[in-house]
Amino acid sequence: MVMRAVVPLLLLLPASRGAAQTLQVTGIRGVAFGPMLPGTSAVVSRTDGSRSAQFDIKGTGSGRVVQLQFTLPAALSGPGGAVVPLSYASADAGFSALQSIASQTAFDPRSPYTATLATNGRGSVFLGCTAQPAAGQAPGNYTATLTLTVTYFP
Amino acid sequence: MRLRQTVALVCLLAAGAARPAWAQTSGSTTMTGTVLTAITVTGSDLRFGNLLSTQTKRVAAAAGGRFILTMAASAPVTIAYVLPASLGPNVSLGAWDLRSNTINDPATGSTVVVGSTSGSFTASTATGTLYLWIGATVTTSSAAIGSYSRPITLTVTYN
Repeated sequence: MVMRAVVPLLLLLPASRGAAQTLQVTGIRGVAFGPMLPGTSAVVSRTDGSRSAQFDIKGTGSGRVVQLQFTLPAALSGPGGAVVPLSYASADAGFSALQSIASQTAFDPRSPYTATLATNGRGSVFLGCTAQPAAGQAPGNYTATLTLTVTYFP
Repeated sequence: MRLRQTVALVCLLAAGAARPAWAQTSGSTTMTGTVLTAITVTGSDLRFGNLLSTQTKRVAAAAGGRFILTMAASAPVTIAYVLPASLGPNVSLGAWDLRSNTINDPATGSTVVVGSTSGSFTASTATGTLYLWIGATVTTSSAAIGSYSRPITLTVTYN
């Protein structure tokens, strides 16, 4: 009698699980400083449509709450091991459920941020920052990797 | 009793399992920038030499002052100049003559039109070096004896 009662309930478990969550983060573009002058700071705004970084998020469900966490590089790396320091301000990142650079809510990229995706499960994250080449900075091309991690809250 | 406990446990498990599954993912992009070569400007004087108290004397660009500019190769720059209108009282300057070349040869250089005592023009060199020569006409009119000088200023910026 005990076994009969328990087994049907256990068999129901797989059917009652939440739907599998799919979550996709796509790096659309990185921060592009372009030409930089030695000794002169280069600033890219998160609202710059061609030079700011952009990530697109595609999830399932409507209005899901997610946590955004950047892995921010401390510097751009260049020729011969030369580096250009990077700095981030408290409003250098922005989230847009509408995926519009013109409609962002600013947040501090240095801390995790909780955002709500749109009803279609989408959203975009933008980032700007400041590069500070030294007066004697070696000329050449510099790069760094920027990563955004998105987590569905269980 | 045992059935109640089991059912309660299974219900709890089922309730927990009904919550959305946890998910996490990452995406990356590349940040880029190019540090340009620092611009340098060095110069040698435009010398008119000795003049009479009243005289007109011309020094052609090829024999005049010279600027040497170094910059990033093939990077367009704006070169702004400010030229003096005189060297002092009764010592006027005019008819400025400016030539440029990517090699150190004024004879094969190009003429840069100088409309007034201040202006600007754009330039770009494949070598990253640009030579400028500058000449002018000086006119003295009952000028006092002495030595006269005024600065010529070039300001070079990347576009």
